Amino acid sequence: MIALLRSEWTKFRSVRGWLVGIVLAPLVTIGFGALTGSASQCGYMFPGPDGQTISGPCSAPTGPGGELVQDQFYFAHKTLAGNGSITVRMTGLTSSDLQPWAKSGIILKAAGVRGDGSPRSKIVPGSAYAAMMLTGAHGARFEWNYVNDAAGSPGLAPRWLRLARDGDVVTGYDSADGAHWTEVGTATLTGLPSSVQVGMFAATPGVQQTVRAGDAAVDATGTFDNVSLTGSVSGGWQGTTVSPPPGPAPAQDGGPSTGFQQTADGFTVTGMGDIGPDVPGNGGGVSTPISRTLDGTFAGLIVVIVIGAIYITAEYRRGMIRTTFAATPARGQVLVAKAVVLGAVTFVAAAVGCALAIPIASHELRAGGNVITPLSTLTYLRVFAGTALVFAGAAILGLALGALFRRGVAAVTTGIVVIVVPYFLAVASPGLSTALANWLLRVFPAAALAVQQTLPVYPQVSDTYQPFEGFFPLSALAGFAVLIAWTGGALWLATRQLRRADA
Amino acid sequence: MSAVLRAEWTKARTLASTFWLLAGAVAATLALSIAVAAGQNCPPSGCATDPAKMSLTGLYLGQTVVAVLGVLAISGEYAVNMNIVTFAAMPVRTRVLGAKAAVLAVLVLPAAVVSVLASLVSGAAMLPGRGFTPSHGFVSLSLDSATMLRVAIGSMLYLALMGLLSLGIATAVRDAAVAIGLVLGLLFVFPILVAFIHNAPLQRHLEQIAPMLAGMAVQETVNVASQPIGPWAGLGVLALWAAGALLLGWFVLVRRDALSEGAPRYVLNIWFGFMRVTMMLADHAQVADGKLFISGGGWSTCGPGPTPCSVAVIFHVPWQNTNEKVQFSLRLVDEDGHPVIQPGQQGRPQPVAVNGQFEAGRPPGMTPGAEIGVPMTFGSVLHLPPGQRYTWVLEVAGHAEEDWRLSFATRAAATPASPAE
Repeated sequence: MIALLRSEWTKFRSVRGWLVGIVLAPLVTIGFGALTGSASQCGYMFPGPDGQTISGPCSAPTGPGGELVQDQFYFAHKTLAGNGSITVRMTGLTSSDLQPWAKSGIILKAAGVRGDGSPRSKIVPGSAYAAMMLTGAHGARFEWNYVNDAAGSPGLAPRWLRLARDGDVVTGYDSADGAHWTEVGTATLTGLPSSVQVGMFAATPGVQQTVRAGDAAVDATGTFDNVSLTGSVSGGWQGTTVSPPPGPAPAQDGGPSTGFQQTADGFTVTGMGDIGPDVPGNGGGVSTPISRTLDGTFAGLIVVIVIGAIYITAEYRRGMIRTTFAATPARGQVLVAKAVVLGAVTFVAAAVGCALAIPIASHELRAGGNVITPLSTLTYLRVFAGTALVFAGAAILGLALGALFRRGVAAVTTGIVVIVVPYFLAVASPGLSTALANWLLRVFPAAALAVQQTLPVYPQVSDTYQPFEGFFPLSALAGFAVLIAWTGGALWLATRQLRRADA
Repeated sequence: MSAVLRAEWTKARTLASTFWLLAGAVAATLALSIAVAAGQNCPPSGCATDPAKMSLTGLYLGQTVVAVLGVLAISGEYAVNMNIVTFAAMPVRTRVLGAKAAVLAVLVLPAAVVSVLASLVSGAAMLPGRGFTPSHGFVSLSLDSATMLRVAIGSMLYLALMGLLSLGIATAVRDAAVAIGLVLGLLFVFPILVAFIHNAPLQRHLEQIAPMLAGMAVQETVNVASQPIGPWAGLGVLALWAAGALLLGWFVLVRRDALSEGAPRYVLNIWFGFMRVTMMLADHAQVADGKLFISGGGWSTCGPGPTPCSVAVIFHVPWQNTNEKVQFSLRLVDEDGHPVIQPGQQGRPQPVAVNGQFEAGRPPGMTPGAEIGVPMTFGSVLHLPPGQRYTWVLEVAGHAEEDWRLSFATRAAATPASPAE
């Protein structure tokens, strides 16, 4: 087998076109990543008061868990020192366009502390919190620290909500009558300062317009009565827009207005934005997943499919295959040796390509104001090695198709049609429903590009979670298994064909 | 030209793959179009989907099959060296390419008509029930409006142009696998790039120049005015791509040797008209009055010591190669194929080799198919070491054949009688 591997390696390295191709594949990937990276701008721009243009890059606060979050809402709050609780009756949640995850209720939030230990008045976006809320379509919820969500009782206002703090532990309750309380969940907010802000909030994600057109801003209003606080509460009610969006207030342009009002029998709080993880796409998030740096993968895949197919069909065309099989009568072994050599070469080339593409494209993206989702080293390695493995798998699939069809054109077309065309249809074809797009990426080998997915899907954030935004329907492992299944199946068919057919 | 057209038509028509590929293009287009239309649902609040374009989604798949047909129209010939016969029979390659393009278009168009009409009919049957009704501002998918007529005819032309684009690229690169990889890469890379770029002006420019995106603009029925490129202008961009590819292919084609590397012997035979050669070793040979006079011929061993060695050759020039200058070379090589070096004029060592050319005239009244014998002799005295094998190798127009060789051996040196054991 060693001699066989060596002879296949000699064949591979002595054909100039194949070497050019195997260098071209990572180059194409890098070039694409750099191009899409440098062409993708993220930021804001608006005319300033003196006619100048005010602009800046996108930014997203970092939550307690190290992930990028959205922390934008209107907050009517008081300072609570030490343990205590807040109880309200929510009498309504209204909006001009009520979103399923519009949210309003009560929140207990670390505001951050000054250097001398005194509490800050300005609330730092991304700080720890726990909240009980009513939502547009998902009933009462208890959410904390952006990524955690527990369901309370379904249904709409009026409803009683309560948050109670005991040390680092905050417990959320809801009740239909203010007498019989149900615990919805408990949250341990590690390192919660003794002095926190408690009060009422309102937020709503924007209205999802057509895909890729962005969101239209909209507001949501919560109405409250029977507000009662226990514990050491100080000061009067203050209104704060947490992380106000840059630029003039939307109300000045006739858009929604935010704020709070104390009425005779309670409060109304009007806000926009969202409190939750930063999910790119229609969820209103601004972050960019690392997979964006490897957008060129599919273009590189076309190149390696061609190389894989020609690696064997060229032997058929030139009659070399007869010499090969005369030297090694075990034809299955020849195919295995070819697959090993091709897979190894492609893996190495693609790994080098990814190792360059990720930092180059990341640099371009950051220069364009994009915020790249932070990753653990392990996830980073998975994206990197997974992509290189996808390249190797696609090349071997091309090889197997070449052995099966013996004609380069048939093998390359089949390879591209099963790998690249479904991917194109899923991410770039107008009018394809998300359900069909997801189905394509479950069945076809492009599912393996899920190795590049680094973003979890949060049910509590409305988003289309499209493949286009870097969300694949299968997990990294399952997606890669789809590619393995295709490659393995094609290799099996090719081996059978090789043994039966005359060379 | 009509003969060239007929030849190309016969070739295309008689390949089994042509029919199956055309049928496959129709089936692939229709299958994907129906699958996509079935998965649609436009809510009463409206949707941004173009029903005409969407009911023709299958063209994304159908065009890959048409691209294969376009690539095979020329690469298929190169793969089996058929192109050598083609260019021998029809030496004006421009005409061959033109005929191929015409035949390809004629073959693709009926398939395109069936694919497009069937997709539109199935779309018209399925989509109104899924919210795409004229009351929502969508165009009716029946062909009685100028818009839908433009969509239908434009899509048919789109497929034909896609075939021509593929033919042009395949003519330029020759290798079928590389050609189809390039064509499909060219088609699909741009739209995926556009999807990923968050930069409106750049996206717009790419949509204006990309062959697939610009060409598909001919299918727009919603917000036509705000599209990056107008419907017919978009198809024009694709036509420019196809014309450019054909021009590039033509440019490469007329400048390139038709013989691909490693073409097998029968191919050369076709090119050189099955030229036979008779060769013999002789002590002495000469040509007089167009005839060969040989003395002491037919040996295969000689020496040791200086040997007079003449090679007598008769080239049997086929009828179609008469009146043509033919280059040849004859050289002596040793067992390892290295040239044999002998002292030449003024005692300078030089390889034993003759280069020359001849032209067999065609006498008036010669029957087509008859051969003309051209005799030739080469004489020398060789000083060769004993106990070796040597070969005279003849090459005509740079090509050698297995039987254009004469081998001989030198006898072992006379050894003194060995002592009795």
